[in-house]
Amino acid sequence: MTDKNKKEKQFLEAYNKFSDAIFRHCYYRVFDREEAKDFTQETFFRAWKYLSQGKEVENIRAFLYKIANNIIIDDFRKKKNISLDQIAEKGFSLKVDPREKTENYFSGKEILKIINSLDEKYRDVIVMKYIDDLSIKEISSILGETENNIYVMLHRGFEKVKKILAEREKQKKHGN
Amino acid sequence: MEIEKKFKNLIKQARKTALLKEEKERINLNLVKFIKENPVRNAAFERPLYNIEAKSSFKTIMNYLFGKPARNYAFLAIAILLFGGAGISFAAQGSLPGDILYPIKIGFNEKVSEIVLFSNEAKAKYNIQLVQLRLQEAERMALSGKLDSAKTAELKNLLNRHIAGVRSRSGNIKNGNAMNIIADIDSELEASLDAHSRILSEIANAQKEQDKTTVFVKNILADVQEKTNEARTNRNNNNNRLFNQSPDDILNPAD
Repeated sequence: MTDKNKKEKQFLEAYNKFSDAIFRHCYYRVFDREEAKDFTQETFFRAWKYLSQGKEVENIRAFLYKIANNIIIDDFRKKKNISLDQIAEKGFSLKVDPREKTENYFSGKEILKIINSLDEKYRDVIVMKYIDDLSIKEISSILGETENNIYVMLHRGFEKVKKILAEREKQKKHGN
Repeated sequence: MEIEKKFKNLIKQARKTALLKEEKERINLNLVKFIKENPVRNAAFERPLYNIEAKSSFKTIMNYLFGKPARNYAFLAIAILLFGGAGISFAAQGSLPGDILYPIKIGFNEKVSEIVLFSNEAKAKYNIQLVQLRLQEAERMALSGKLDSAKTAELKNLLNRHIAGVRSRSGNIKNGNAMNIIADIDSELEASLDAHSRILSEIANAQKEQDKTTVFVKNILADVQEKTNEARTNRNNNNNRLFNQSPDDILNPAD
């Protein structure tokens, strides 16, 4: 196998490995399935374009997230905020195991509501840390923030999520 | 603790968000097509011949200037041995303008090294390395007070020749990815000239006005600065043509 073929094969393997994670990352930032698919595809196109010029990347996962992040930033600059109702209209596709439909079950709409209610900067780090499972170092590199700042934002974001979850519990108890 | 448990569950469910099988396959097909349309570039010249990074930082160039060349001329040594005359040719490698062996270096050694390269891209990049080499020679001579009018003129002529070599070789690149390759070559040339003009400027500023070589250092500096501006204009013109394809756009968000 030539070096060229090997590089193509490795890249397609990276696609198989990381495409779901990149899609998930995009989805929880833009809340639109079709857009998230487009951004996912664009992420891998741009990554290949860079790599096909003979450049090397140390951490392909962080590199993909960085590109995806920049695509999302470009998109945010073009659009206004969308409402939760607009998000709900687009639908939310989430495979749910019926055995998990316990009192701790979150519907798709609830997940979106909780994540969307966070300030953007907290939402980014919460999504990257807990949903994307990136390390603090990787998040720091992708967002261009110091690791200390990432820790602070994570802490504040997490406190906010806890408040939202506590509020949800209260509403459930009072039958709202 | 209960809240933490709920949070974990929230995250667990959120992590199940994924592409559907057919969505993943469709993107995969598009990606395969994209890869075919944008093949890996010819790696004939991925590593610089002289082991100098073309986008040289000021620090890298200063290290090269005052440090040992190490492997820098290893390839040349091999080429020279293949063609015979090993002793003289090899000795010529360290020569500077005005030295007896300098004509062998520029007239034979460097020509041989270019002949063994095949692609226009490789030859264009080799000429960029020659530009860097000439500028390093100028800097060495400026620091040791050896520049005079004849050597300054010779270095400027050689610089003109190498830059013309970069332009003509890159102008002959005709493959499907030519625009991107030429843009890269333009960037490397500009970066090299810019870095060396800063070094020459530092050398000129450090010299006293009454030093007899100062006028020649400033002469070469002005020439290099002019060439840097030309290279920048050229690069901008090419980048305008590549607006939607520039690799710089890949990593940096649009303004």
